[in-house]
Amino acid sequence: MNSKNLLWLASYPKSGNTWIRTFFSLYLSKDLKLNFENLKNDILHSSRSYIEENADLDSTLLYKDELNLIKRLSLKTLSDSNSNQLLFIKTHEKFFKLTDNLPNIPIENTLGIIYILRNPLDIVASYANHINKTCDEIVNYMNDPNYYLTSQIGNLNISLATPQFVSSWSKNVESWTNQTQIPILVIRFEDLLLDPISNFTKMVEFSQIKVNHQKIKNVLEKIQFEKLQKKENEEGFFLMNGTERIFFRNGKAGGWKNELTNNQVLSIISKNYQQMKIFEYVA
Amino acid sequence: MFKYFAFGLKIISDLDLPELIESQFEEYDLRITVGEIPPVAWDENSLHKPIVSIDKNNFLHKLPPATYLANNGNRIFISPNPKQDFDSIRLFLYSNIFAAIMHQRNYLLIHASGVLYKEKLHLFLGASGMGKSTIVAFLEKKGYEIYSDDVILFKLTNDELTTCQTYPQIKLWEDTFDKLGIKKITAKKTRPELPKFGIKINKYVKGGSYQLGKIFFLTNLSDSEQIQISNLSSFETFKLLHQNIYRVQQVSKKLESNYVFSILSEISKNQSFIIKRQADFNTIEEQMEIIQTKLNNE
Repeated sequence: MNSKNLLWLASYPKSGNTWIRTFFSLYLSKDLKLNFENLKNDILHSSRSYIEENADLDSTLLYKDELNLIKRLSLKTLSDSNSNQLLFIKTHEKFFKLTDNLPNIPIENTLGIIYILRNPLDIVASYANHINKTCDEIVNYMNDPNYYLTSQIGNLNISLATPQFVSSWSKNVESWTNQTQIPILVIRFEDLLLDPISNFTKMVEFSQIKVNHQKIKNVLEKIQFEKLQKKENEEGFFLMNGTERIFFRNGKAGGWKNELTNNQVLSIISKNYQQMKIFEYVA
Repeated sequence: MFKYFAFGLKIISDLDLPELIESQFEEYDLRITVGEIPPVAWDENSLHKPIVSIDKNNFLHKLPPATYLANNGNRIFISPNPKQDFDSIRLFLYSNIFAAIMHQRNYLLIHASGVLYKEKLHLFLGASGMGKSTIVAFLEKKGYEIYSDDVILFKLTNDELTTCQTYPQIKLWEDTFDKLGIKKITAKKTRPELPKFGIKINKYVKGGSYQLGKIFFLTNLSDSEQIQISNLSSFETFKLLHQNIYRVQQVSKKLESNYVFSILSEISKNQSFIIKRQADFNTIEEQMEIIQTKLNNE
């Protein structure tokens, strides 16, 4: 019998995924003490370590198609061997079918998906800062249906992360929100900013975790964006080690108006119009 | 039937294994058979996962090129998958199945490369991608004798620590050749679609156990463009060694934790350093200068 204990936090990069991971990490902790180190215990879909531990091999020796199949099997193993525990998995990959015509995640072990989306126009500058690229380069990535993170073309598997098939912003959104095999809760980052209590409560309920309204309020108090920024400023953030850039950069909606050129805005809207319209980012 | 010497073992094999050292002997330690995987009598503590099944004396691994069974430290069975090539079959045989055989023979495997200098074995440790093989390839170019690449084996018998090597090959990713200034002509891809190349080690010292010298942990954690090197305490060394245990799952099923603790404690007695560099910079020349200085300092 399969365990149904995988809870996916899926999003295009820089859409608020880490904020939500931080919320759950704190909400499930005993002392409500904010500690970035605890986030390192979360499972990253792109990580090689859980694959290598569960499949007992050097994942860099695998071809991309083999790796994807073993990645899914390793998650199944991880799920079955932690059957009493809810496991959060962060992913930026799209939902797609592997060479065996089955989805890239083990649906039989999946409790649900929390899909976080953010106005793609606001993602551009944030993502550019995060991976040290220009806004033009990021616009090209976000419009590219074949976009991979840590792509390792031709199986040159030298990255610590596995190749991640992210696709374009709209294909990523569409792939998760249109699938009907797994329960999904779609949350807009902008709605989280407007009404955090009600939206984080929805996420806790969806995850089948006991709702404690006072605790939700206490956690939200601790993960206010300015507090995360201050903490990063004082201690650093592990995802940005070795760089001078910051992770918690802006965290606001609508910053794109001062960050993007007209051409960049038009390019994003024209290539992602349909999904932007569905989720009310364009009229 | 082919005969080889590798991993300190005399091996007879149905399969041609050109990366190993050809040898002549009458009695063998390990036999490799290609064909059906025989039924396995698993013990009551066996662990079964979709890709791996394991107990104290058996290790069954279902990998893309083949299904492999390592049994009792002296038998390997290989059942190739249709359409698979023998290069791929050999690559996983060396990296996974030999590890299982050696665990069954009570060895602890550490993710490390080693060179010999002044009669001592000096170790380079680090996760995949940290440059162990690159350093070994560079040191070979400089005239050092190579003991082993990627994995070194340790065993404790009557409180005496012994070391064992794997086989005479360095594996390098395609992008490393330019950094090292060496040509790819003599290198061969380890798998047809994998740009990781196997190069025969020319200055290879066959067999034997050596006293340990210095230990270098390689990381890409530096905050500055400068390479940093610092000394490690025995306790820090122990912790880092623990993180570099090879094939942890096999170890947990086969070796007693006290035994592992004793081996790691013994290794930790040696002088150790951590080298921090930035991931994005080609720092091989500077690293080598630092390492050679440390090797020359008594």
